[in-house]
Amino acid sequence: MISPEDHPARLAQHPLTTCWRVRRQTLFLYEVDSEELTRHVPPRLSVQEIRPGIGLFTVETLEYPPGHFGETTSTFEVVLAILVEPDLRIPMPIPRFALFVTSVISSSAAFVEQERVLLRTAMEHAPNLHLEYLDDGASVIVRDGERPILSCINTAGRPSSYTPRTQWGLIYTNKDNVLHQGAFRWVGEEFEHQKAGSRLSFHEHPVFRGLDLTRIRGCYRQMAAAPDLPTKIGYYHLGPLETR
Amino acid sequence: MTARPEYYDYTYDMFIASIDGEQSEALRFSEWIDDAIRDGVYAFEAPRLTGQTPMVRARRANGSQVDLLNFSSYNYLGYSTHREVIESAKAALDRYGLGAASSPVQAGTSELHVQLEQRLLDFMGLPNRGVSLFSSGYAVNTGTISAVMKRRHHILIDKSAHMSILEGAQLARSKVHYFEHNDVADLKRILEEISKDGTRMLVCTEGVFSADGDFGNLAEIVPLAKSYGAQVLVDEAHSFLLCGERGRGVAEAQGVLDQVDYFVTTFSKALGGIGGALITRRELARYVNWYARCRMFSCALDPAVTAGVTRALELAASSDGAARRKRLQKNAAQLRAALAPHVDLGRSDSWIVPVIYGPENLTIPLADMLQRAGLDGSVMSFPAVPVNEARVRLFVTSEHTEAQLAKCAEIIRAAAAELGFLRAARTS
Repeated sequence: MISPEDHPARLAQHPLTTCWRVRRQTLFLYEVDSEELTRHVPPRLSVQEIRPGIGLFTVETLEYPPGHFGETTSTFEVVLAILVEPDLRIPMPIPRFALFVTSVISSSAAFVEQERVLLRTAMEHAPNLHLEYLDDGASVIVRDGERPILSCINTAGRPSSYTPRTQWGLIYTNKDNVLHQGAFRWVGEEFEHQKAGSRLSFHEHPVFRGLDLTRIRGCYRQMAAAPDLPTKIGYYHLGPLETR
Repeated sequence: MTARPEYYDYTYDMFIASIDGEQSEALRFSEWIDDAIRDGVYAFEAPRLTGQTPMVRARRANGSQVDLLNFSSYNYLGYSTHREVIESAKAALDRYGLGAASSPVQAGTSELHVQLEQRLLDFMGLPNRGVSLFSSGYAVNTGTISAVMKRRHHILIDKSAHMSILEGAQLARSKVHYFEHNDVADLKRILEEISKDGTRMLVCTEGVFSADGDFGNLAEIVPLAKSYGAQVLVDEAHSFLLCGERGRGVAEAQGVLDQVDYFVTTFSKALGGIGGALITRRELARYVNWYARCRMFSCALDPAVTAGVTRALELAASSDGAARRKRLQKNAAQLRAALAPHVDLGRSDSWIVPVIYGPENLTIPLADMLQRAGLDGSVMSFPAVPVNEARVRLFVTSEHTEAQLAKCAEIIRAAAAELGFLRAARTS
């Protein structure tokens, strides 16, 4: 299931830490006042603005096929993050995104434990987390049991085609007040657009960690991986930010 | 198509910042450009060896010279190289020297500036107006907005508005709100919400939007803003002297000219020079003259350009200008008609004709392909335009011939067939 050979064995002298195969994935980027986002970002990082005063809050959903983490059912994960300025010193292809992860929840206890160690994320186990991907393959409703958390609705209609891509990104996580940096490599086929519309629908839930989502001004960009074509993601832990 | 280098997928936004102290973003950006030059595909920044006429000669990065059909300059009426304009500039150069050598509020204002201001007022024909001249069109917006708007005020900006408006708002440190492009309902929603504050509000939009070539919905936006007590700034950079019954822009064409509080234009488009002007109430123009920091602390427009622009304005206001406007509109219609069945022109209805080719990773090969085929267009990709909606903008001028327009369309169609963005290919 997990194939390290899908990715380079090392990145900037750091070995491949782990890799995943993903059955479904969406990434929605929402416009939020930079000052609100800055409250949630460690001083070492800076919110990346797409327009003066506007930064991006991202909602990523992932569904892993049964067996990926030992479970007999699919594993679901939701990652909330803020787009920040990258570190371009790292000798790697230019990252398309740099994300400071504010919150992660997963339906798999085994996954939570693994990621806590490997990614240094403050990850929460949400055994009843469920992702409902709509027919267009690019919209998703997130529930915790019967309780809705949020819905991200695609505004461009059903994708007519997906584009093969390999893209890189950076991830910053904060664990025990130590800022860690990692890089990921994403290989798959994606659909991406910036059609206007789709404000995030959300309901109060601990996953938001005090972020004021009423300050979301609209959706900036929407991405979805081709359903059921396994998307391959490799992760390289690059170490604490300051001592690397 | 064969696999392309990784750098073809890079976009401008990827190099905006880096958190390290060594400015790695500049280093990596430079490497990006160097890689494209090394591979012989870098078509940007090719130095012109001639003026901005419909045919130009340029030098490619490898040193070779190419003759290009010029659809990438916004010398819309051809005045940049008009003999009388050049003669006026030369005469001013002889009399006043190279530069103004002082701020306009100190010793930098010459009789030439006073004449240009008066010509602009005469041309606009609006009562109680004044003019504030700036040494660039960009500075008109940054200077004006930051002078008249302050903290706790509200600035509402069309999402497709020019960066100079956004930076003006940033300098003003006002509360900034972005409304969907030309969307009156969205603007109304925001006005409804913020007008309760009872503070100053400024709505900023444009006559013709430079990325899409579509017209601002001024006929609805201006009265709506006024009904909420907001002031309105309209940037007519790409429309001044190009439309309206007498060439006074989209505000004139849509019947709202006298309601526009801040009429912004540049001298680098229809007038073929550089600089810009704010036309507003007399007392506001005087205030902006003194409180627009980028004007107060910059040198005034240079004498040669000021005189050249004045002469160009006189010509544009005459029957010569009317004839050129007519040709411009005919030429633009011809090019759009030749391209529309074959490629996606988006919302364009003007002399800016964007050919939307889609994926960003075609930007470098397309620019190179067009240059090799003898066409120079203005390429734009994410984040300047939405992702997957990269485009080459073709700026039509009154001076292009029918044959040149036909040749341009032929080159675009061939590139679209080669790179897969013919209409049929994109919709399948």
